[in-house]
Amino acid sequence: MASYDEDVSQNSFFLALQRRRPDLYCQAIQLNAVVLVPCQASLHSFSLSSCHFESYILQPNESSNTHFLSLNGKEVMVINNAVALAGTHQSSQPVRVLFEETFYTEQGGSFNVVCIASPLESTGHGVSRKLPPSRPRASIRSQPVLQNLEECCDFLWGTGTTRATRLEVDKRMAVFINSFRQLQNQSLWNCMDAVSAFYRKCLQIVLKDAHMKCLSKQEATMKLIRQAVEMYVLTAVYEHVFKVVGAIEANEDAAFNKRTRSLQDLTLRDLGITSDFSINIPRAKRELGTLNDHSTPREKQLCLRTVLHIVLQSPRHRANVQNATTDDLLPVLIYLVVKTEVPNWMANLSYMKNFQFSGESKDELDFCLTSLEASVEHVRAGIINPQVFEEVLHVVRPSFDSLCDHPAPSSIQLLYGHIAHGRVEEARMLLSSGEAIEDIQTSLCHPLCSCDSCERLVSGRFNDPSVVTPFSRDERGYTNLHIAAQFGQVGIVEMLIELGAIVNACDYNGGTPLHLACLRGHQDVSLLLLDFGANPSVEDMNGNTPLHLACQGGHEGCVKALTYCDKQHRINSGNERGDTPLHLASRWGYEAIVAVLLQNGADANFENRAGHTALACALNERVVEVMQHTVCLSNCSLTTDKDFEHQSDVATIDYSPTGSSRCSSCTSCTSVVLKDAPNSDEDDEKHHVVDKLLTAVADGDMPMVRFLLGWDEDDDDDDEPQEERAEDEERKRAGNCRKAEILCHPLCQCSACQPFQNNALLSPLGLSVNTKDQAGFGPLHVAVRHGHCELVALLLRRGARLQELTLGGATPTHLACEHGHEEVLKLLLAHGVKVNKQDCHGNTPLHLACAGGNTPIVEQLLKNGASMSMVNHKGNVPLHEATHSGNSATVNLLLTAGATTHYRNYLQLTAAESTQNEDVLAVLRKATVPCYDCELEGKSQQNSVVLENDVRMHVVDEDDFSVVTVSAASVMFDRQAVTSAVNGFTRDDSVNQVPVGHAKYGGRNANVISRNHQSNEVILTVDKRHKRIEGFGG
Amino acid sequence: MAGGQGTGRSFSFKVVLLGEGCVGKTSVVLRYCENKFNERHITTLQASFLTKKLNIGGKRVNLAIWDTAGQERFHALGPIYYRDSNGAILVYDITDEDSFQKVKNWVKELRKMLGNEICLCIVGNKTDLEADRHVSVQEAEEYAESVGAQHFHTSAKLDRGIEEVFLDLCKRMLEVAQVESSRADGTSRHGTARRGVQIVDDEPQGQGGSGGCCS
Ligand SMILES: Nc1nc2c(ncn2[C@@H]2O[C@H](COP(=O)(O)OP(=O)(O)OP(=O)(O)O)[C@@H](O)[C@H]2O)c(=O)[nH]1
Ligand SMILES: [Mg+2]
Repeated sequence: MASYDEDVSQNSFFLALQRRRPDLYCQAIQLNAVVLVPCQASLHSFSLSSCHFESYILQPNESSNTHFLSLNGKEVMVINNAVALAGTHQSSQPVRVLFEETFYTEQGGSFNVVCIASPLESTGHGVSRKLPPSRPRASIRSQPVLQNLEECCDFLWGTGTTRATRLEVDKRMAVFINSFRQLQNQSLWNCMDAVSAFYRKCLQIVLKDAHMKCLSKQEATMKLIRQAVEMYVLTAVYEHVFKVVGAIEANEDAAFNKRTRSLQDLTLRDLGITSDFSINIPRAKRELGTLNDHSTPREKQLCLRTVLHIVLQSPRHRANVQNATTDDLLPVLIYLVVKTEVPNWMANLSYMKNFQFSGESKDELDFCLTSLEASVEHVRAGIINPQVFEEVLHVVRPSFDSLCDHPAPSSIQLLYGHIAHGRVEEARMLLSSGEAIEDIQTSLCHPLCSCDSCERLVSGRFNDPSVVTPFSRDERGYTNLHIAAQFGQVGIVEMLIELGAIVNACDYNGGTPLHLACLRGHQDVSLLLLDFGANPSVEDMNGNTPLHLACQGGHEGCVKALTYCDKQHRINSGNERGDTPLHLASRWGYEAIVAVLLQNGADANFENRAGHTALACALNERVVEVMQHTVCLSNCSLTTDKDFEHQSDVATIDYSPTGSSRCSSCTSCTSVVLKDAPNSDEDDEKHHVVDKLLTAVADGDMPMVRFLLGWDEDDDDDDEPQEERAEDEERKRAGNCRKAEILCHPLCQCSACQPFQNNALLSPLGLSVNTKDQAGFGPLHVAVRHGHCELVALLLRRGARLQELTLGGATPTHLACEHGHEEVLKLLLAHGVKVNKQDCHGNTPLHLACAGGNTPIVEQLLKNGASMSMVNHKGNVPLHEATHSGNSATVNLLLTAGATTHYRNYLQLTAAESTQNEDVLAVLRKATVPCYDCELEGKSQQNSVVLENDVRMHVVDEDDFSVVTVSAASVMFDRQAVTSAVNGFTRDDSVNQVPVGHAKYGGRNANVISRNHQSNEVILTVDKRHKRIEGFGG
Repeated sequence: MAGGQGTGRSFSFKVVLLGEGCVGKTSVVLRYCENKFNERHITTLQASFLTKKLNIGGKRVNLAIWDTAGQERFHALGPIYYRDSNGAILVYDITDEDSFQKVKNWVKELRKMLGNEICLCIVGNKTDLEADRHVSVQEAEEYAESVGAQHFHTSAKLDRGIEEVFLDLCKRMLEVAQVESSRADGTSRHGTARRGVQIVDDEPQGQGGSGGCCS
């Protein structure tokens, strides 16, 4: 396409040969010869009549590729794409070969035509030699390639075209852009139709111009005109068109980016790329990275072509490249697609494929585009697996003989194999083999004995690299826990932590297990690690926090887990490039994640090192919209919303008219959960069925529930306890539970776990006992909430998960307590639920029970080990909640159980200070009577209100800790009083010297429960609970 | 040398080579385009994308030959490569029965996806290994006929029969193109037309139907 072309059958030299020397022509056909034909442009001063046509017909030569004999016996050499007469006279300069064409005659003969730049011999009348050299060269120069807009403008408007034509086109353009922006239904087809119609219009205008009309007579130039017009037009509308295409392909792109981000470990070796090609990869990658700088499909394709040429260039070993086939090219392209930071491959592909109106679809550019498309498709098909993974995964199962005999897979590899496959028991066994050595040691005669029998026992064991511990590392610095996290093996993570693995261990890249879990998108593991105290603000070598990696990888689940579990996470921290998580999510086009981040306080105004805000990083319109929308919203609500509870964010979900909306834990908190992306019909269908199930549960309609879940009544009829069946049932359930435990953390809704759950317990309608609706409510939640005891029992028998959370973070226990269903609660407790879980407002079941003033429930909870010192997001302990409920019996119960009365909530109020209710106050006061032998100074005011107490405080330094002695009428301190006491006695910084937990009060050990450095306030408490609780019998 | 005069029309054809790995696709296409006259003339994209100019009885043909990847892992990418092609050369190895079965699968797939527009050539390669033949000539030829394809035998090693394959294919593609273009009122609308976009006539003042064309 870039090269010179002409129709040889119209060439006057060729025609002359046929007319004047038919004999030669026939001979050429017979010989299957090569016919040299000077190009038309070089012929105007060439005398055809005196031409030695024989010299132009070369006999095929089997033995040589460079030397040929012409029919008149002259030797012709072909070197470097040029033809020269050999030997005779030195005046014969090499003539460039322009193109070759094989001719087939009607009669079945054939010959090859080689078009050359000028006649071979400048004999006799040949004037061409004396012509200024520029002239013929200019005329045979290959066609302009039209690489960019400038060249197009030159070509279109440069010479001969009237100004009016250009003005007309430009005017149309402005009109078009205006109307395009208002195009309502911006589907791809509409868009294409509009642009192509506009292109045609412009082409017509251009062709009306006299100059262009003349040019258009030639096929080749006509093609150029089309190309030029297309480029001119598309450059102008690019911004608008590409935006639309980007929005259409947004989901595809996000999914694809997620895929490529997960493949960043990919190596050349994984794809079988040889060093011949790998040397060009960095350059190719740089070139490919500029793809988004080009605006027309043609320019983008030219960019691709450059990339392909770079890939196949091999300056040193030309010979190898000779055989570069598609098999060599594809892997390199695949590698480039994965590694090049182009976040919108799909948009680019769609744009290049669909917005080309002038091009031939069969040229080299098309091949380049197709190759790219094939590579993208291959990546998308998800069959690439980095070797790093495979190595770990393919390690053979160990037999212990092989362990001793062949050291081949080192035991750390073996262990990692087990971990990667989630083989808990094998892994545990391997880990405990270290302990076995201690056993051996005890059976030796003497620790240093070297008698034969001992030697045999010991040989090779002490320095044995096969001994692995939970702290072993591989060559990347990965600990066992890293591997388990990387492969999402929840069971193993749990086991390892139990064995003492270090949760925040860093690999040689500075990455913690949490980093890996987030990178790979294992939400369940992330939650578990966070639960065990993983630090979410550790930065790896690139300055990435786990949140960065989760965002980059497009793992919405992990992003939610991180933002949800860790409120004070530095959500706006920048990595090496200054990118905040929001930058990454926005660059890679993860709309949903952008929204989650924004709702959790990500700031869209941060700039990265390149000076771009997250908004500027967004290549896709959908993300831009989400950002603009949310930023706008938050600006509106910022002023009004200073409550702890963000009332405006909380939407209530109700299943039956009787459901109350008062309580927080049955609400779905939109700050945690986002609306799903627009649902497909299938999703709608699914939601419909789920809703039906949950309504049936809410109504306590057992037969309906059974029907929907596909359970036969007689399967679980426990009225007639047939032992066998019961056992069977038990075993099945235990199996399900175990599997469920291994695979799924209670919160896990990840796609990897979902199918498993469903497979295990799926009903014909696709419902399982743990199916949830969009608010995270499953059948058990609804049944508990409505107090259907029998149904709860059934669901539990059927393997409903006890600790399943709603999106508000409520467990079934929360719901039972909140709605005061004592029988249900008993049932749950009998199944061993954990009672101290907090929902997304920090409430434990005890908080909710207290808030409801439900004394029997509170009693149940306390008996089962509910903590009275858990603090919710308002800073309230259960006693505060009970106090607010106004039920003095509940308050009394808590106090008898040993609740301490002087916790202050975030409003700095103790329970007593936060109520006016006389009954409750009376109960509280009674409990605040000090029961130690304090030094009392001043009046003893046992019955007075706390605020009026006279508080004295003595700080005495004793050895390495401070003893705080307090003299007061009451243990219930007044904040001001304490502060002034501290100030008065010790001055400023002495407060800081009071170490937490090492104080003495009233002659007893006391705990400093809070110190506020700014206000110099110290709150002390003496833990008197222990005795009481024991007495309570819990 | 005005282009529009009678014989001056030129055609662009895309031909894709398909077949199991190692049957000799790359060898065949390299042999065909191998330049006995001028070694350096092969394009940079080398063996995967080759162009060749032919002039068949005065009709100019620009042949673009797309070699495909033979590795099994890339098998699924076939459709991306063969769409919009005018002809396909399905290569099997006469010593390998399986490779012939693969050809049958390709034929089925191509007919399904591209209909009868595409011209097919079935090529039994490696005839120099005749002694080790495992695919019967008769069976292959009968099969080819039954699916409307031409059958050829080649040897890339000895350079036998390869030019004939491409020549025959070109002739048939020309026929199809001429039928198509007479139907399509003389405009060249292959390729882009299939994408649902109308392209412009050489003579734009003759603005005929302006609606979308592909249904
Ligand atoms: N004897 C013989 N061997 C041949 C012939 N054609 C190709 N081969 C050999 O067959 C092997 C495979 O040839 P390729 O051309 O790479 O086959 P391919 O179909 O392109 O293979 P993939 O690219 O993997 O699909 C090579 O070792 C060739 O030398 C032939 O006609 N005769
Ligand atoms: Mg090949």
